[in-house]
Amino acid sequence: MTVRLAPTSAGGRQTSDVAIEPTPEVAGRGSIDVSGVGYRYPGAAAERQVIDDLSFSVRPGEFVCVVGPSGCGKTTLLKLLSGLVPAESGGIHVDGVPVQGPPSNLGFVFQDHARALLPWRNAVRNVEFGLEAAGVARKDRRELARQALRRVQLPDVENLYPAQMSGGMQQRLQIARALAATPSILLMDEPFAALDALTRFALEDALLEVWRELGLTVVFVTHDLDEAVYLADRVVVLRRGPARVVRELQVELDRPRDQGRTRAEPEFVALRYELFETIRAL
Amino acid sequence: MNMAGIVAGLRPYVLGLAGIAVLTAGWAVVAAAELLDGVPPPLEVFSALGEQLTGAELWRATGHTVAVTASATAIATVIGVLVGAAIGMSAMMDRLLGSTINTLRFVPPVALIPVVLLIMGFGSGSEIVVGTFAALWPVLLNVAAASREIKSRFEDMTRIQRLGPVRKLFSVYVPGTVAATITGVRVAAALALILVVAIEMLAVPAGLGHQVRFAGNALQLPTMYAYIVWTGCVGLLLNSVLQATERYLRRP
Amino acid sequence: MGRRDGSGMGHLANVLIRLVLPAALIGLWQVASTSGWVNPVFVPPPDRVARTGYEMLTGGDLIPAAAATTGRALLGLAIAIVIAVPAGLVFASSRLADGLTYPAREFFRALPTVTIVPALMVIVGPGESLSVLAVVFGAVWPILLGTILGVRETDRVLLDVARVHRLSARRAVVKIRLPAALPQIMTGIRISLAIALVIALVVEMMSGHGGLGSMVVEARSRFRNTEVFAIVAVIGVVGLVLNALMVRIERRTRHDVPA
Ligand SMILES: Nc1ncnc2c1ncn2[C@@H]1O[C@H](COP(=O)(O)OP(=O)(O)OP(=O)(O)O)[C@@H](O)[C@H]1O
Ligand SMILES: [Mg+2]
Repeated sequence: MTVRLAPTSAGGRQTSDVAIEPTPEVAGRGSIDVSGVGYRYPGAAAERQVIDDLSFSVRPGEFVCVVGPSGCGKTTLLKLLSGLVPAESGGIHVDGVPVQGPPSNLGFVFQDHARALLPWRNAVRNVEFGLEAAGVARKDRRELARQALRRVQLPDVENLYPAQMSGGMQQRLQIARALAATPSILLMDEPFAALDALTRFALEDALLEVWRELGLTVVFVTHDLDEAVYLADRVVVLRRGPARVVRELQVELDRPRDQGRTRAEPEFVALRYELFETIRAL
Repeated sequence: MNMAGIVAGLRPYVLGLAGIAVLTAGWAVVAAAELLDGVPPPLEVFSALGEQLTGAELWRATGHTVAVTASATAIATVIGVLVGAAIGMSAMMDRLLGSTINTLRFVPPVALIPVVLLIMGFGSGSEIVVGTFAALWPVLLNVAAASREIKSRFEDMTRIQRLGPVRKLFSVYVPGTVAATITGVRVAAALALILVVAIEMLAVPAGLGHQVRFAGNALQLPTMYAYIVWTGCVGLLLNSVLQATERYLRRP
Repeated sequence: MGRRDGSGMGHLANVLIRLVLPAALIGLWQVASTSGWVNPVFVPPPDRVARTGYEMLTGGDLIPAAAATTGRALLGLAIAIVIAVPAGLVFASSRLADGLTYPAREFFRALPTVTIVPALMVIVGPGESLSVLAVVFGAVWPILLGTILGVRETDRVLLDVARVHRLSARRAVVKIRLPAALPQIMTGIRISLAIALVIALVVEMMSGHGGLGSMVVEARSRFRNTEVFAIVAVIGVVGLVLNALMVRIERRTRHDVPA
């Protein structure tokens, strides 16, 4: 793969006639409310409480990163938010509506891109899958899928199958699939964890740009504290056993951010240090 | 264990027995209503089976078929392991033998029956040859694939560790390929049984295949069905034993 | 077992090396049979087999017979696919249906299917339907097993993908579970193809109802041993061609391994 850093200014971006614009009714939405949620995996040997009395909320358009020790329940939390598993206690609301199953305005980017893409479909057909599921008419799908691919800077791979793509391309493809159906909320589970540093920088910037343009609400789980500070408006720190919010850190670095400049700012370094100490103290 | 656990544990057996009962009942209805020609009622079949089970003939036929199948599988395993290891470990051997093997393995083994009968006559020898031909390929291909994989994964390591060829064989290749080999043997035994029974039905006057055909020709239908059911049981037993062996060898 | 060599010379050498063994075997056969190591009445030399085979191909019923056998095997296989794939879907998704049929399925899978040919012969009598029914009965089990395993082992992540996209259970089957199971279904079909050919031939050999199977039995009963060898060679070629086609189809349905 050719690692192409995303242009951080709008100038270098490709534009198209019919862009995916956030539809007005969707633009204002995308709030998440979690209050007093608890969860245990049913039938698990010890029936251990994985999440207990966990509360936080996300404003529409906010970019929130969730960090915490490995195995603390971050993936489980995203599954609860997306309605993939039902909360045992407490309440989860998306746009004020209690979550009972996956909401229609929600996109999910899975951690394991190799397993989350449909290996029997090529790139553009993988993106179309998201549109078929959303009930978009057949004749509009191809064009919308192409737009989504362009948006994640994957324009020339339409006919490649996932097995023929690098990890970074696969993850871009997954993001394109999630974006194609114009969600207002994007949940991402350590999406860049398996990628090399340069690819990760490129994807982080591509994601920020998409987020800014579409006015998405993003909940982004990561192991990487640098990544969390670089991307987020706010970082939520979870502790382990059972998972609870121990700290929320406001990040007020200027946007648009820049991989070189932002990471060198004293405020970035200070936030990173604080985050590290918080986690180390757990 | 609590009550719910016992019930859950018994569930597959209860369901399975219920399924067999439904199937047998369906069979009884078909036979009683004479929906199909020549289907004897299950009761008659099972009493014929009981009769055969107390006689000597069934056991002699079973012994013959099982012995021939086992011999064919054993021979196929020896040849398959040797040739498979050779082409898996040496690119030269692969080039020399690979395409011939890939041609021969697609020849339907029943096609060999007439030729083998011509050359070897109507005895156990012919059964073993045909059974071996059918059983050879799963073992050979599995061993070849496994040893090729081992070679590409551990060749550098074995060089750095300076393992001698004998040590290398017994501490790397043998343990690394044993699971794939037994899987091949399980598939091979099933294929050998099919071919042995087939040649017994077609030509060789011995074993379970011959009994099925013989009873059919004599229009002793309950006995024929009894032998079919019994052959299925033998196949099931053979398969279960090999599957258990496989599980034991594959256990971590 | 295909390893590619880049250069033209290397390619030629490769082809030659692959031909060494078959050439040696045929040469051995020729020598053995013409010099009397084996009785040429029972084992005619390859040049005579080739000549007889050529005469049969151009003059006789060999091609129609080959077509009949292939047709029965493929028709039976097609019917088996139509039965086994939907049934496998049901067994993979319903624990009740699975539990009820599991022992019976295991029994029929372990039963050497050729044994039911005499029973079918009594029920439907010799003829076209006997061949096709027997083939269906033998070919159903591997496809059924492949479908059940493939559908059941669909990656959990893919099932989550279906759910976050709010697919109904029925659409998830069509769009996720079935395509995810396709490689395993194709493996089942490949195994069933081999079984279908075997059973079609056995039925022909037993019932004498046309096709390569009864042709070879007839040639043997008339002691036309050279014809026996020629027909067996044609059976081998039919098996090879069908399998080569199958492997090609199977490869075209797979995209999860880089080409
Ligand atoms: N399907 C399951 N059944 C039972 N327990 C589970 C299951 N999935 C996860 N767990 C347990 O729940 C806890 C939280 O798992 P989760 O995957 O949410 O952690 P995580 O924070 O995402 O970890 P990581 O950072 O390694 O991805 C772990 O202790 C894990 O063992
Ligand atoms: Mg996780």
